[in-house]
Amino acid sequence: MNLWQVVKQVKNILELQKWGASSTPVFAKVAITTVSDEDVIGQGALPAAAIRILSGSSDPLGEGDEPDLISQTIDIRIYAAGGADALGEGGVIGGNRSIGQTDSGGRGILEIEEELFNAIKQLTTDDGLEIIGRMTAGVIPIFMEDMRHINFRDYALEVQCTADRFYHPVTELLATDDTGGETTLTWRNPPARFDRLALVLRRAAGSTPPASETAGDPVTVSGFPATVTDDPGVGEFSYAMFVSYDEVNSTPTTADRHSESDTVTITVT
Amino acid sequence: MSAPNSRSIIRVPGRLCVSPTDLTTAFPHGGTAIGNVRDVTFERRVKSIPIHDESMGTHRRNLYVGESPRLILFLRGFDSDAISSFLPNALAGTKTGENMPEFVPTDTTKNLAGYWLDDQAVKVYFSPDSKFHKPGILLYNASPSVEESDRVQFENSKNLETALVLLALPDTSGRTYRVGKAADLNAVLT
Repeated sequence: MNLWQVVKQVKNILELQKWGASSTPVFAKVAITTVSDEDVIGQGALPAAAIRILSGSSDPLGEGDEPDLISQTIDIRIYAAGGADALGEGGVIGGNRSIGQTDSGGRGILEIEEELFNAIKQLTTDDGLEIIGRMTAGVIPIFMEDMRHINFRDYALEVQCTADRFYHPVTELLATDDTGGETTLTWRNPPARFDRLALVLRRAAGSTPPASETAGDPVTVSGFPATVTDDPGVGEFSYAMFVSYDEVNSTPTTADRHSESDTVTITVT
Repeated sequence: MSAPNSRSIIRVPGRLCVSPTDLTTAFPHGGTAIGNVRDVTFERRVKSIPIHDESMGTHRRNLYVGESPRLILFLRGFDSDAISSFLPNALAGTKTGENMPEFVPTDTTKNLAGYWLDDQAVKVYFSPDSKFHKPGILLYNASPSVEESDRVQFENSKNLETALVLLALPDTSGRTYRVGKAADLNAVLT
């Protein structure tokens, strides 16, 4: 994925991060930004996470031989309320709270950081991103005019990006002959992303799979199941599965990009 | 053949487990997790013999004569399962239940000098953190040994680590290792 996709995915996964199994989001505001701390805090939504783009370099381990491979540093700055106690201890480690474990209220910044790490871990395991935590800064207070203070802390992450955009395809597409002119296809879905829209399955008679998301005949697949049954009749058929993505709408609604295909050929009896 | 693509240049952090039964499930894949590791290095050590042609004064053929594959790594910490899986002798603590390395040359119930370390060989899997995107390493019959030069440092400024060598020996089916995606390795796991 390139940097544009990576930071949008980081934002997406931070927005989706919930407290435990609840539906309560960890962050009240997540933004990719260049503005000042005061402007972020001025949004009035805490805890907040501000993603800022820092420096990068091309292929540092390969002496720059592959300019399309970019080692990019991004900074995530978490802002959290400073706590109600006189010394600000609650703002760091959390304090008494009647809300329970499934809310950000009363949380210290070190509790919120746990959820940041959980979210980043998903990016490495599910999306296959290569992320190294390079630096964690101290907890710094910002004193407000109303005598409150807001804490923030920086987390610098080094992310391996590509110059080109990438769209996760499905993998492990297999077909089995169910006889009676039917076949069952199975596959592994791509990770959930900010722009993931739908699966597109196309079929063609013979041994050559459809070359594009509009070639051949469509096979309906709703949502993101891991299997579908098709009844093309008896003979040899080839399938190509694509994943469509929407980079225009904040909630994916219209396909404007497609992944590479995974293909399979099956003789149906 | 694939066209060069910067996306194919990858880094593969992961974890180690022994005796996995299903690589498509969550780590440790039905096996036993082996603490933390670092500097995991897979050496195929391919053997070949260039055949020199005296009539031409240069080598003309290159004969493949096998491999001596091994996995080298550092075990980070003092993991009880790693101790019992990889060291010749271990004693289960009666209080904590944790395994302790030991060497008691006068105790004939123990593995003494002359013991075949490969009798202790186990199936080992290096599981990449991103198991659907990155390749893992499957050793079918890994014989563990600690290098004679290994130095486990007990001090404040160093991490306690043990250098481990896992020789990839052939199993009863003649298989030594395979490297690939979890889904593919799982199909040839047993």
